[in-house]
Amino acid sequence: MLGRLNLDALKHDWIEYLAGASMFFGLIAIIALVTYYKRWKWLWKEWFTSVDHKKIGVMYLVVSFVMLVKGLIDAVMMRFQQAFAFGDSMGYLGAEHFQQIFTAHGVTMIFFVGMGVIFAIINYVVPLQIGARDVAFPFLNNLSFWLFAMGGMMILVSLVIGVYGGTGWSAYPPLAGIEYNPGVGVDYWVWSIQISGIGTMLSGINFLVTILKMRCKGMSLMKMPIFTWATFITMILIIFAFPILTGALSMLTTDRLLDTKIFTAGFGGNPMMYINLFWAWGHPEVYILILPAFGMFSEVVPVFSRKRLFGYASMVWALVAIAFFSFIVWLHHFFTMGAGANVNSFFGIMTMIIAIPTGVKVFNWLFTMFRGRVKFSTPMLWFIGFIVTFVSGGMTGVLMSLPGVDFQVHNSLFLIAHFHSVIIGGVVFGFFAGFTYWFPKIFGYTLIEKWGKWAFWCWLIGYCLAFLPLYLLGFMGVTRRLNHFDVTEWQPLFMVALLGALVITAGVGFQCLQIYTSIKRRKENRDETGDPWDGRTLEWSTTSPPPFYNYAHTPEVHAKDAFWDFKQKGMPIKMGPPYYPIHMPKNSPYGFLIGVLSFTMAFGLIWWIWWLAALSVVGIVVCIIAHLFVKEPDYFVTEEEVAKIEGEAHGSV
Amino acid sequence: MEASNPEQYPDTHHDTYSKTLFGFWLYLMTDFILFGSLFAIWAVLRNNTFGGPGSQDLFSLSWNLFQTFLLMFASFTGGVGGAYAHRNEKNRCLSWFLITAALGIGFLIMQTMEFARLIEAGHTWKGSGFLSAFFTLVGTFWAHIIFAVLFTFIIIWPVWRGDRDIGLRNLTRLTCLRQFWQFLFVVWIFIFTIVYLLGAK
Amino acid sequence: MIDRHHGWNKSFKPLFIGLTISLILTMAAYHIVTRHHLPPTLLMWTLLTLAFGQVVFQFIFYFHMGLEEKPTWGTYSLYFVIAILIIIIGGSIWIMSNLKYNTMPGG
Repeated sequence: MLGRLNLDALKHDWIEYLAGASMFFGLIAIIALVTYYKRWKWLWKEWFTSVDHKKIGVMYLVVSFVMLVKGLIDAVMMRFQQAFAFGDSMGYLGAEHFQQIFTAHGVTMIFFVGMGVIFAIINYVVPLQIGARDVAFPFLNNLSFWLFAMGGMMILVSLVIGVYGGTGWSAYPPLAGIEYNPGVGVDYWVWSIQISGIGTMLSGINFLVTILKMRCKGMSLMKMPIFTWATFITMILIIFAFPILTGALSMLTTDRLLDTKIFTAGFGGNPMMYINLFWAWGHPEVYILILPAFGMFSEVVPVFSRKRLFGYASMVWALVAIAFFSFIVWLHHFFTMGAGANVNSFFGIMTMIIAIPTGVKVFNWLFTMFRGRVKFSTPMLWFIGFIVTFVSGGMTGVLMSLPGVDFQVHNSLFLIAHFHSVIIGGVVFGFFAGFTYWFPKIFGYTLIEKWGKWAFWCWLIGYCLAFLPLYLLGFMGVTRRLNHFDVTEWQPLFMVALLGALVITAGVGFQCLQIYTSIKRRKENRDETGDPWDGRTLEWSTTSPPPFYNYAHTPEVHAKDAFWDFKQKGMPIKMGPPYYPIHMPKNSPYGFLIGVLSFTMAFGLIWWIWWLAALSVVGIVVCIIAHLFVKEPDYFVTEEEVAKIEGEAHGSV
Repeated sequence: MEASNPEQYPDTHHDTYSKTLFGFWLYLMTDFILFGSLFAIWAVLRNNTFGGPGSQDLFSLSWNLFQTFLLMFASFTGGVGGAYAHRNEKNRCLSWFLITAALGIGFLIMQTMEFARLIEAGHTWKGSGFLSAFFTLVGTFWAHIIFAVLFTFIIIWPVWRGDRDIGLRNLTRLTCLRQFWQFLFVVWIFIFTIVYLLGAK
Repeated sequence: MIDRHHGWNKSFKPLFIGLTISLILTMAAYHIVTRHHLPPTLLMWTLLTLAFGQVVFQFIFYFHMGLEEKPTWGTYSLYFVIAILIIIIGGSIWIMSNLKYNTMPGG
C-alpha cells in the first residue's frame, strides 16, 4: 500500500530531528498566524492563484529566501565539520549525513536560490521594462512558479521522511545508480530537479515569446534595456540546454526504476555518457545563472553613475557571444575523464575565449563609471564587490581552462573556491544589487541604507575569509567533499573559512534587520514619485508599486533608455483620460493543483507507491483538460475602474 | 506621446494566435533537443550488446516501413485537417483529425507489438546498453504518440461540441495539434533511418 | 493578425507535394538498404542525406518554413536547434570515442 515507505523513513540522527522539528514548527507557526489573521482566502485569491507576473515574482522571492536560509545552514554545518574533524576527531557529522548536506547545499543553492532569485527579478521587471501588461502565457507563469516551489519542497521533505541523495549535486552514476544507491535519496534528488526543471523550461519559452512578441510600440530589439537583453539570451540558453538535463535525468531514472543499462558500469552501459550530457547542460546552466546578474548590473551602474551605459551594442554582442560559446566548452568540467590531448585542448581554448566577451562587459561597466557622478549607494557597493570577487574568480577559471593545470586542481578546493567566487560575486551580489535597486518599485518604499552597507561589508569580508583559504588549500592538494582530514597543518585555514561563513551569516542577519526596520519605517521612506533613483528605463515611469495592469496606456518609445529619453524631452509619461478597457487574464487554481499533484506523483515514484503516482498523473491530465476548457479565461477592466486607479495613484503627483 | 489608438484597444498585444503558435514551436524545439540527447545515447551505446543480439538480428524492416507509412499519412491527414480548420470547415476538419488519430493508434499497435515480440524473446531493456538505448529512444517516441492521440481527442472534443464557427481559440489549438503530428513524423524519419535502416546492416 | 503563410495554411497542394517527396525518399532509402550492398560509411552518409533531405522538404511543405512574417523567429530558432544538435550529438560522439586515450583498455 505504501510501497517502500515505512516508519524507518522517519528515523534520523539528532541534528536531522532538530532541523525537521524546526521546519515543522515553523510551518505550524505560519499556519497559525494566517488562520489567526483570517487570511487564507486572501492568500489563495491574491497570491496562490494569481497570474500577475508581479505577484509571482514576489512569491519566487519568498521561496528563494527560505531556500537560502536552508542552503546557508548546510554551508555553516559543513564548515564546522571541516574546521574540527582532524586527526582523531571525527567531527560531529556522520559521513552519510555530511554527504547529504553537501549534495543538498549544491542543489538548493543552484536550483532554488540562484534560479529562484533571478526568476523573481525577471518576472517582476521584464514586462514593465518592455511596456507590456503581463507575460505571454500568464497561466504557465503561475504553473512554473508552483513547479519550482514543489521541487524545493521535495528537498525539505527529504529531511523528515527518508534521506536526500549523498552523491554530490551532480549525482554521477554508477554511484547514483540503483546498484550503489538503491535507497530513496537519489530519487528525491532526481525529482526535485526534474519538477523544477520543467517549470524552468516553461518559463524559458514564456519569457522568450514575451520579449519577442510583446514589446511596446517603437521598442526595437536594440532599444531594449540591457536587463531585458540579458533575460532574452538567458531564455535561449534555458530552452536549448534544459532538455538535455531532462533527457539525462530521465535515463538515470529508468536505470533506477526499470533496470535499464544506460549508465551502469556493466552490461554495456556507459557512465561517462551521463557526465558528458550532464555537463552539456551544466555549462550553459552557469551562464543561465550569471547573465541575468550581468543584466542587473547593467541597469544599476548607469543609474548610479548618472551616465548612460558605455557600449550598448558591444554589451549585446558580448551576451550573444557568451551564449554561443557556452555550448562548446562543457568538457572542461571533466578534462580528467580520459579524453586525448586534441579534445582537451579544443575545449580548453574555447573556455579561454569565453572570458573575452565577459571582459568586454566588465570594461564597459567600468567605462560607464568613468567621469560619471558616481553615488556609492548599496547597489553600487554590491557592484564593486562583484568586480573584486567575480573578476578574480573568473581568472581562476581561465587558469583551470588549461588542461594541464586542471589535472592538478580538478575536484580540489581550488575548484570550489573558483565557482563560489563567481557565483557569490556574480549571481548573489548581482541579485542583491538588483533587489535593493528594484525594492522600492516592488514594495513602495526604499530600504534603509545603513543596514544594507553593514550587510555588504559582512558579505564581502566573509566571502574573503571563507574562500581565499580554500584557494590555498586547493593548491596544497586538498580534495573536495571530505568530512575528515589527517594533515593538521591545514586546520588553521579551515578555521578561517569557518569564521568567514559566520561573518556571511551575520551579513544575512543584517539583511533581515534591514528588511524588518525598512518595513517598520516604511511610511518615512515611501516612494511617492515611482522614480526614486532618477531611473532610465520604463518601469520607473509607473507608480511604486505599479497598478496590476502595469500601464493604463502602453507606452510608445523612441530611443534606448526610453524613460530617460522622455524625461529629457519633457514629454508627459502619465497620460490621463480617455482611458480604455483593459483585457486581463483571470486567476487560475490549476497551476497550484498541478504543482501539488506533481509533488505527490514524485513522492509516489520515489517510495514505490504506484497507485499514488498513477492517480497523480491522472489528476494532472484532468487539471490540464480543465484548464483548457475554462470558458472565459480573461476579463475586462472597465474604463471607470482604470480611471479610479489612475486617479488615486496620481492624486498626489 | 500619443494616447493608445482606440482602434487598437483593448490591448495592442492580443495576437494570441501568433504568440501561442510561436510558444508551441519553441516547445517543439525543446523536444528536438530531448530526442537529440536520446540519439546521442544511441550513437554511443548502439554496439554495446554485451554478448546479446544487436540491431541486425532484431528488426523487421518491412514492419518498420509500414509504420513509417502510417506516420507519413498521419502527418499528411493532420495537415489536411489543419487546412480545413483554416477554411473554417468544421466537420471535414474533425474527420481528418480523427483519421490522423486512427493512423496514430495503428502505429501504436504496431510499435507495441514490436516491443512485445522483443520482450517475449527475452530481449528486454535490462539486457544490455544497446537494448536500453533502443527501448528508451523508441519508447520515448511511442509515449509521444500516445500523447498525440490523447491531445487529438482533447482538442477536437470542444470543437465538435461547439458552434459551427471554429473560433480563434480552437483554430490556434488545432494548428498546434497539426504541427505536433508533423513534428513527430520528422522525428520518426530519423528513428527509422538511424535505428532501423542503419541498424539493419 | 494571423500570419497566413501566403495562403499555404489553407492549401492542400503543399501537403500533396510533401507527401510525394516523402514517399519517394523513404522508398529510396529502404531500397538501398534492402537491395544493395554499400560500404558502411557510404551507406551511413547516403541514408543520412536522404533523411535530412526529406526533413528539409517536410519543413518547407508542411511547416511552411520561410513563409513567416518578418522577423522570422521560427526559422532562426530552427537553425539554432540544428546547430545545437550538431554540437551536442557530434560533440558527444567525438568526446566519447576519444575517451579511450587515457582510460583502461576495453573502456
